[in-house]
This record gives sequence, C-alpha cells and structure tokens, in this order.
Amino acid sequence: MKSFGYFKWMPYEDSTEEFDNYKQFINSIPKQRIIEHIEGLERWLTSLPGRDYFTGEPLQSGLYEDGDFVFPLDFLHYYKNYDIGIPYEYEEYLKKILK
Amino acid sequence: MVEQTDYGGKSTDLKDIEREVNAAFESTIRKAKQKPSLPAVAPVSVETAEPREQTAKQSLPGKAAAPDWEQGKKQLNMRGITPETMDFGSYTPPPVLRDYLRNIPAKQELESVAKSFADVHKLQSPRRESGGRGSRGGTFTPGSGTTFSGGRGGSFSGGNKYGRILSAPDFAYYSELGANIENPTYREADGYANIFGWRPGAKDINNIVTFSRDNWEKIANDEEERYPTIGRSIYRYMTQEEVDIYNYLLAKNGDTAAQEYLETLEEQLNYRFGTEVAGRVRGIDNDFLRTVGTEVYAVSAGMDTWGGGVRQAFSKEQLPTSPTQYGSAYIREDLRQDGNTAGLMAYDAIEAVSNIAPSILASYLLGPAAGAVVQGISATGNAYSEALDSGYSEEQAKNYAVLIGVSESALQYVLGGISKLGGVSSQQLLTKISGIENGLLRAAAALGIKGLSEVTEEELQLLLEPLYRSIVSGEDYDAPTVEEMVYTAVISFMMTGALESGEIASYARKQPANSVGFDFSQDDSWFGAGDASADEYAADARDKLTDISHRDIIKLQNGFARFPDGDPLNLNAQMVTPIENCFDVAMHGTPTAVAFGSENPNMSPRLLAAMILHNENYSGQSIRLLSCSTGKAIDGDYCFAEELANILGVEVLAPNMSLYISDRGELRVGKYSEGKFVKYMPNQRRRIR
Repeated sequence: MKSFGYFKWMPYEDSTEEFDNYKQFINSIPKQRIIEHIEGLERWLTSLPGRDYFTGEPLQSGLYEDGDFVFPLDFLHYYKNYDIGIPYEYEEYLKKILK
Repeated sequence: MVEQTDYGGKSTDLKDIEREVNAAFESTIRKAKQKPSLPAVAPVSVETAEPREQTAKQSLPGKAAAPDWEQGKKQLNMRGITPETMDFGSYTPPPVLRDYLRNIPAKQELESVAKSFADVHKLQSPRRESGGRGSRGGTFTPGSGTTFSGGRGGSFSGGNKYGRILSAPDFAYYSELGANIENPTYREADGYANIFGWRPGAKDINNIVTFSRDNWEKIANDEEERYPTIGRSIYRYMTQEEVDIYNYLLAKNGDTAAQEYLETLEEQLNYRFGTEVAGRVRGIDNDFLRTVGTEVYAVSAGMDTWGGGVRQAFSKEQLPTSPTQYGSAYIREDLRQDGNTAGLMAYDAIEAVSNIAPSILASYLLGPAAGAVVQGISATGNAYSEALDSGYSEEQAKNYAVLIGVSESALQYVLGGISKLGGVSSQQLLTKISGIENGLLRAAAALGIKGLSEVTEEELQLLLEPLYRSIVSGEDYDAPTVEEMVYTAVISFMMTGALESGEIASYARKQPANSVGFDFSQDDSWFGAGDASADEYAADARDKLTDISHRDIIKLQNGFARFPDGDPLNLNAQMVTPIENCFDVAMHGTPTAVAFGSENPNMSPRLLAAMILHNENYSGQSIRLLSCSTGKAIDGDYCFAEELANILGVEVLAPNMSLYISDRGELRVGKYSEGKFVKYMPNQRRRIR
C-alpha cells in the first residue's frame, strides 16, 4: 500500500511529510470532483487526538483507503480548506476510476 | 543334552544343581516367613559402618511381606533366565543359565544368591517415574504387586560371578597383598589446591577402596560440600568379603579388573546405602520427628527422580538406581506395612510435588512450554531405564521412552492443572469463574478446575502407559486397576492443591468491585468527581477522577463504549460485531491508560476493572479492548491490557497499534493493518503468587 498526506504534525505513526510539498501538486481533475469521491469512501476512525495545525480546530482522526492508497481523514480537511493538491500517482489512479 | 561340570565331588548333573538353587530359594523364603524383617541392612555386614540401631521399628515383626517363588523366578528372568527354563518338567537350559549355574561352586553361595534375591523381593520397586506421576512404579499404585526389580539384572549377581575367587588357592595371598598396597594420606591425595578438578601436588591413590574406607568421613563431607572429591564414601558399605575380592583382583589382575568388579557392586552398594539411611529415618523414635524426616526424604526422592530421569535421558548407558530411590522404596514399603495409608499418600504427594518442582523452575526461566518439555525429558529418561529393567531391548526401551516423554509433555501442557507447565485448557476454563462473587466459592471452583484437569492428565497417562508398552513390545494391554486410578486421582489432586495454592488463593482475593468499599448500587454516581470513596480508591496516579466524565456509557452489543460526547467513534463502535464470550470495552487509549469519556488519558486498569465488574452485562467473559495501543508493551513493561488481565483474572485482547473502526464496524490495527490484537493471559509472567 502507498500512503500520502501524513504531515509531520499529525498524531499518526510515520507522519513525516512536508505540507508545503503538496502545494506544488497541480491536478487536472476538478477539486470538487475529488472531494466528492473521497467523501464517498468508507471512513476508518481512530481515537488519536487530531487538530488543525493552523487553527487548532478539533479534527476527527482516521484514514481513508482507496485502492492501494491510504491517507488520513485530516488530509481531506486540509485539501478542502487549503491550497494543496493530491499526489500525481493518486490522481492517475483517480483518472482511471472516475471515468 | 544336559551339560555337566566338575565341582569337587558334588553332583555335576545340571538338574541337580538347579534343584539345589530351587531348594536354597525355598529355604530362604521359609526363613523369611519365620523371622520377617526388612532386608535393608540386616544381610549386609559392613565393618566400618556405624552400628545401626536395631530398633523395633526396623525389625517390624510380623509385617514383612514374604517373597514368593514367582518373584524369585522373575528375578532370574531379569538375568536372562526365563520362567520356562525353570520349569523342571520341560527343562531345556539356555546357554545363559548353563553359564550361570557353572559359576556357582558351592551350596553356601547358592544360599547367598537366594538370599539376595529374597531380600530384595520384600521391597517394592524403586523403579523410577516414567510417564508422569501416574506411573511412578508403585508410588501411585499401592499394593499393585509391583515387584522390586532389585536394581539391575546382573548387577546384584556380580558378586556371584566373582564368587569362585573366594575358593582360589592364592586368594588369601593376593587379597592381603592388595590390602597392604600403600596409599597416601588424605591430605597428600588432596594436593595443595583443587583447580577445577586439577590437584597440583596430589599423590596417586593406589587402592581406592581401602583409601575410601579409611577416610570415608572426610570423603562424605567432601561429597556434600564440593566436587570433585577424592574417593567414594559409599565403599564403606562393602562387606569384608567384597573388599577382599577387590584387593585380590587389584593385586593379581590390576586396576582395570578391580574397577570392573567395583562397577558390578554399584547397585548393591547404592541399595545398602539408600536403605540404611531410610532405615534410620524410619527408625526415629519420636513420631513427629520421624514424620518430618520422612517428608524431607520425600522431597529429596522427588528431586532425585527428576534429576535421574534427566541424566538418563542424556546418557547412552543405563545409569544405576540411586541410593535415594532405594531408600524411597524402603520408606514407602515401611509406611505400607505400618498400614499408614495417610502417611503413604502424603509421602507420595510430597514426592510428586518435588519431582515437578525443577520443571516449574524451568518454566519461570523459559516459559510454561519449556517447563513441560523439561518434565517430559525427565520422564523419558526414567521410562527408558524402567523399560530396560523390565527386560525390553534398547530399541524397545527407546521407543517406549520417547512415547512416554512426548505424551507427558503434551498432556501436561494442554490438559494439566499446573499453570506453570502450561495447563492451557484449565486456564481457559478459569476465565469462566470470574463472575462468581463469593471469594471462597471462586477459589473452590479454581481448585476444582485445576485439580480435575491434573487428574484427567494423569489418568490419561496412566491408561496410555500400558498402551505404549503394548505397542513397543507386543505384550497384551494391561489396564490399570480401579485402585490405581483412584489413588492416582487422589495424589494428583493433592499435588495440584499444593502447587497451585498461591494462585487458587488469589482467586479468593479477587473481590468483585462492589466489595471493595464502593456503593455501586447508585449506578455510576460513585464515579463522579469529588466522590470520597472513589477518591480513596483511586490510588493510581493515572486515575484523574475530576477529568472523568459523569455521563452515561454507550451500550454496545456486548460491552460498552465511552468515547467523548459527539465522537463518531461511539457510533462506529456500536457497529462492531461482537465475538463469542468476549466483552467489548471501547474508548480512547494509550499503552498505559485509557480516556474515559475524554480525549486525555484519565483511567488506570484498576479503575477500569472496577467499571467492568460493575457493568450489569459483564459475567466474567474475556475482554476485548477497542482502544488504541492498549496492547502495546513498550520495552517489556506491562501494558494496559496485561495489567487489566492480571486484575480481572481473565484473558484480555487489545491492539498493539492504533485501532481503526470503520463505519461498518470493521476493525484494523495500524494504518496498513500491520498491527494485531494481542492476547494477554492473567498472570502470564507468573509473577503473581
């Protein structure tokens, strides 16, 4: 499995990624389409204490699993509210399934 | 065709000689009936031995079990002479019997042979344990007719093999010559130092027997205090005749021949030593001290049985029966003749406990499975030795020993009631009794479960032993008697009670939550902040009572959840499919604490245990913690789940990483499912006694 979106302030194990790196992803799939897709995925909730790094807003911890990809529930929050993209590899996967 | 030989004018007809042997046996048996006495020391004249007190106890008038001719034939059989060959009606002497009879030069020796046979018949077999305590060669089989094997075939007849030497014309000359061989003093033989057995400056001992007999007290002290010693104190139990033969061989044929002779005496000497010590124990006048001495002997006998089995398991040669085993057989026979059934049972139970004690020690170091294996190894060695004593070939004995060892280990681990050696089944059953509120009843239930598990294991082993004999030797299945099975059950139960008393008592102490000073009748009101009794109870620093929510818990299908209010995990937890006989407890968690209705850890295992016991739907089931990382043991420390298992006395399952619960109630441990639910058994580190 491949994971993404585990930013280094998140409470999960192996959260090491840089948030700024995701600002560089420019995706061709419309953002709303991607959000709708992710929101349709089954949520796996966990009890780790999650908060928005910038605002302190409480966030539900957990993960989404989509094909071979795993990413935290928090990622959707950041994707919705901040100007970041999704990794190209995941976008390629979405292009295949969102026809 | 009957072979003949010349014995100085005596009849040379083999049948006549055999009749003489027969008559000598019967004569001895008649004498034994007329003057019954325990045989341990009486027939042995030990010059240097302490004068043994011939107490009434040792004489045991009217109590000695007279040996019978059938037993004598069995003894001959052990020497390669079958009962058929002793049937005069169809007599066909095999070569081994011909050789045997040729080596008997005079009637005096025939009587000696017969006497030694008759002597040893009166004791029950010191046969070692093979397949667990159930087959302790008479230990669990009172009056089962187990015969004293006389140690080892051939060993006791060794003196007779050398009997001709006594009438050799040069006997007096060479035996005196050997006796006069000069030895160093004890100090000279000991040298200036003892460096791992190397004794710089030590002088050679030229006659080990005379040296050992001259210095036996010092050597005996050495044998207790240090290893290796010089000489052997047990040589003091040689008769003067045996010493003379040794001296003769040493002077005439050299050290090797003399040493071979000593080896043939080893069983006999062990027998004399063991029975003399046991005789002294049983001869103590004071009843209390005699009982104490007897039970102390049982402890050493049990450990000796274990050690002997292990040594035999790793030895190619059959090891001699130890003095302790002979002594133990003596004591058991004495108790039996006294009609002291309670004493005999106590002796057997103590011996059984001490026999298993070293394996329990191994389990502390290496785990329960290793303990069971160690016990199996000991059983293997003893079974091998026992099978050889019974006349099995080496191959048959090996096969029998392996079957016994494997089944002993496996049955003990799976079915046994000794928790230190596994007892997997009984541990499972014990998880069902936590719901019993009365401590005494709970302890009684624990004793019942453990005792019955051990009884089941031993009875099965008792039934399997003759089956294994049948498999390896083709003999008919010889089922144990009801008496043997009942006796085995009683001893097994006693042994289990003794070994598991600490753990059984802990079941009495594990009081339900409502008996530790709380009023649980007011639902969860006791649990609120500021509650005096709860404050008093929360001695654990992890318990932050002011942070614990006073709100209701969320009921699950079989358990409860208490995530923070509004946390969607409360809903997801309700979707989780319960597993049989498992009570689910769901809330935020860490490796050391859980968060009851909070995001921050605020509750210790002890307090959660009280909550669980208070829950009306909990009836002693195992626990599944749906709480992150509560099963994660860091650096070998106790994790939350293990502590909870120890407190509740039930099995606890807990995730060793972050737990994820899907909207459909599915569970995964770790974001890649790389974690798992870890099972913690109560007291699995065996530290709670």
